[in-house]
Amino acid sequence: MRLRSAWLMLGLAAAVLRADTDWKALAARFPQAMAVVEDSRETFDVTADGKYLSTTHYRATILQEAGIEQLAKYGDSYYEKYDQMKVKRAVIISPDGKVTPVGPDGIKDLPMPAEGPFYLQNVRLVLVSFPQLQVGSTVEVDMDIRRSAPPMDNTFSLLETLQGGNPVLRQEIQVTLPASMPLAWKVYRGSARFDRQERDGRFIYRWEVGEQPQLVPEPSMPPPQEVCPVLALSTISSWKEVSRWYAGLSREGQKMTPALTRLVAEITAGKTSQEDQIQALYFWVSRNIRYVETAFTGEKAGFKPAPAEQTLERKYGVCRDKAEFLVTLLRSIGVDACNVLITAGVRRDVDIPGIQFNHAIVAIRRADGRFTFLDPTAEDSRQYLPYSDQDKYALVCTDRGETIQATPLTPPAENRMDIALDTVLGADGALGTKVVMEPTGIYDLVFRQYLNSMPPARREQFFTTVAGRMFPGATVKDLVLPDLDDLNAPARMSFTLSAPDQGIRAGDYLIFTTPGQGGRLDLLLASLVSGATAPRRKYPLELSATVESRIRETVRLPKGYTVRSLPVPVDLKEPGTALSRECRPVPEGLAYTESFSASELYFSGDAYQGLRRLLEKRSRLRDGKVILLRQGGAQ
Amino acid sequence: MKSTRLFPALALLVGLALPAADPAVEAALRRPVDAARYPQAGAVVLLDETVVTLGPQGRSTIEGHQLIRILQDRALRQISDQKIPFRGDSQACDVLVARTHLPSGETREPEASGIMEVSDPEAAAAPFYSTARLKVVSFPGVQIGAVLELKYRIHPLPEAKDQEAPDPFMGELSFGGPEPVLATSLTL
Repeated sequence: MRLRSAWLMLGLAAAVLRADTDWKALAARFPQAMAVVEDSRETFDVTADGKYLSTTHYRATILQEAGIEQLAKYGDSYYEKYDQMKVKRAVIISPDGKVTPVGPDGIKDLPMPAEGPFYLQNVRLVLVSFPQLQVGSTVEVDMDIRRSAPPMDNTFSLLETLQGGNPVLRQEIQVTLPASMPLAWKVYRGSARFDRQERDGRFIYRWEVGEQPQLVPEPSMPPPQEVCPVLALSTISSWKEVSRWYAGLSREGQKMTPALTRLVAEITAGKTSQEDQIQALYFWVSRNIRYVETAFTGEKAGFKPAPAEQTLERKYGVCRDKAEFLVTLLRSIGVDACNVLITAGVRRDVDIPGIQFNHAIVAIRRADGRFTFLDPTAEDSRQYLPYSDQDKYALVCTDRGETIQATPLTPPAENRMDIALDTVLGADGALGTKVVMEPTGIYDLVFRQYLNSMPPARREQFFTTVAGRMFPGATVKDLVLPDLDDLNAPARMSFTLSAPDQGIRAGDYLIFTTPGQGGRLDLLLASLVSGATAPRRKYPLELSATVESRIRETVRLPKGYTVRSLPVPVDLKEPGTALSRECRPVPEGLAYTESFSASELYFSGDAYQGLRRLLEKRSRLRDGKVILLRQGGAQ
Repeated sequence: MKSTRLFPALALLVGLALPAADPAVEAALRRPVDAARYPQAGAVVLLDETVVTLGPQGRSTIEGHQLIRILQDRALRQISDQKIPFRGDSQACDVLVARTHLPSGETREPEASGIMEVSDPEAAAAPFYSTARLKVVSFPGVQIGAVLELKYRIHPLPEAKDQEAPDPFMGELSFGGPEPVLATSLTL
C-alpha cells in the first residue's frame, strides 16, 4: 500500500514536470512544424482468442497558429455491438502550465458521420474537442478501447505507420500476448528499439521509436504507408492462412437461388463463349449493384460479405458484397472465381502476413494457373482491373490457401488517349478543327465517370470551357458522346472546334500553331503529371497509371500559301518515358504526329529528372510555329 | 379471443393488398412521364409535399412525402440513398413509408439495416454540429423507371426542453431543384 502510494506520488511529480513543455524551444527546433507530438504510446493486451484491450496515450503541443485546428479534435471509432471505448483523461495545458480538464461537453460519442456512400449506423465516433487552444498549448488524451470481435479469430496483427504530418519526439507500441501466440514483426524503412519480457506466461513486446521528422508532403507522392517507417507485426503464420480464412468467411453467401439462376441466364443470353459471358456478368454487376454501405454486419465487421441472394434483392452493396455477388454468378457458369483482398491505392509491405486490407475484388483462375483480376466496384470501368488496383498486392482467397501476389500493371498502350484532328486553316487565320478522341483504360474510365455525373447540357459546357481555355474565343459545336452507360463500347467523343484569329498575318506570311501540338487537348495527362514541377524531390513521383497519348493531325492550308518553316522534329527517350513529334508536308497540307508515353508508375532520381525534361519539352511543343508564305509574296 | 387474433391477420392482408392506397400516390404513380421531354433530367419528382405544423415554444412537426421516378443511371446512383437532416438533441425522425415501386408494379421495402441514423458529416468538423443527424434510407431494388416513395415525420422529442425564447418561425423551401418537379406543395 505504501509502495503504491509512493508510485502514485512519483507519477504525479512526473505529470507536473511533463506539463511544463518548453514550446518555444520546440518551435525553434521544428520551424516547419505546426505542432509536435511529444509522446504517443499504445498498448495492446491480447488474449488467445484475438480480443484485446488497447490503451492510447497522446500528448502534442501547438507550435504555430495552423496547429490549433490540427489539434482541436482527437477521435477514434468503435463498433457499437462489440467494442467499448472510454476517454479516461483529456486535458489542455496552457502555455503558462495551467492544466484544464476537458468537460463532458467536450467529449462526444456520436453515430459515425456519413462519408460518401458510407452510412455506418452501428459504428460510433468518440470525439474529444479541445476548446480555447492557443500557440503553446498542449493537449493530452488517454483512452481505453476494448475490441471484442477480432475479424480473424485467435490472431492479432497490426500495421502502424511511425511518421506523420508533425514531428514525433517519442513513440512506443507495446503488445502483450500469451506465450501460445508466436509473433513475427518487422520495421520497414526505419528502426525501433525492441525488447521482450516474459511475465506470468505472457510475452510483453515493446518497440520504442525516438525522434521522427515530420512528413512534408510532395505533390503526387506515394501514400505515407509506402515511404514512411512502418511497424508490421502479426501472429498469423502465413498469407495462406489468411487466404483460407477469408475463403471460409465468404463461402456461406455463395449459394445460387432460382432468382440468381434466372438473372445469370438473362445476362448471358446470346453470349456463346465463356469470355463473353464473364464480361457480360462483370459489366452487369459493376453497373447494376450500386455502391453503398449501410452497416457493419455480423461479428466479422468490415470483412464478411452479404450473401449474393441478399445483394440481388437490395441491388446495392459495398466492395465485398459486389465481389461476393460476382464470384457467385461466375461460379454458376463454371468459372473458377475467388474472392480477393487487396489494398487499393497502396503498395503495402508484405513480409509479415496480416489482415490490413481496404478493398475486395475478384479473381478468375485460368487454365495455366494464373489469375485474372476483376474489380466490380468500379462502376464505369471497361477494364477488369482499374488503375487503382494495378501493381498492388492482392490475396486470392481459396480453400487450399494462396500466397500474396502483385497485380499486373497495364501497359501504356492500354491506357491511351488517341486524338485525331482534322484542321482547316483559313487565310484570315481562323482555325476549324474536327476533333475525335478515343480513350482506353484510365482515360475511358475518368472521362466516362466525370461526364456521366452531370446532365448532358453541362457536358457541352465542359468541352466549350476547355476549348476556350486552350484557344481564346473558341467555340464548340456538334458534340457527339457515346452512351456512357454502355461499357461494351469505348467512350469515343467528337466535336468541332472553331477558333478565330489563331494565325498571325505578317505581310505575306501567315504564322500559326496547329491545335494538336503539345497535347493541349489531353487534359488527363496534364493532371497526372502535374506533380512533376519541383526541381528535386525527397519522395518518388507516383503516376496513377502508365499512360500513352497519341495525336494525329491533318492541317489543310489556305489556297495560295506554301510552307516556309515547320516545327522541328523531336524524338527523345528517358528511363520510363518517351516523347516524339513530327510535322511534315503532305499533298493536302500538313501531317502532324505527336506521342508521349510513361511505362513506369514511380519516378525518382535520374528517372524523375528525365521525366521532367520530357514534360518541359512537351509543353514547349505548343510554341512550334508553322510559317506559310503567300505565293508570289516577298521571299 | 377469436376477434383479437383475426384483427392482426386482416390488417396484414389489407397492408399487403394496398401498398399505395393513398390516392395522391396512386395518381402520381399513374402519371405518365415522357423521358424524351426531360432530356437533361436524371429523375423526375412526381410529388413533393411538405406539411409543417407549428407548435408552442418552437416545437414544430414537419412531414414530408416524395415520389421520385428514376430516368437515368446517374440519378440512380445519386439519389437512391435519400437523406433527411434533423437535430438529434431535440427532434426525432420517423420514416413512415419507404418503398421502391418497380416498373413491373411490384414494390420493395428496405430491410431494417436500410434505414439508418448517422451523424451529419459536419458533426465531425465542429462540436457545434455534433447533434446534426441524418436519417438515411437506402432504397432496395432500384432500377431505371422505378419510383422511390418516402414519407417521413420530424417531430420534437418528448423530453426536449421548450425553447425559452423561441425564434419566430422562419424557413425557406425551394419549389425547384436539380431535377424537374411536377407537383409540389407546402402546407403551414
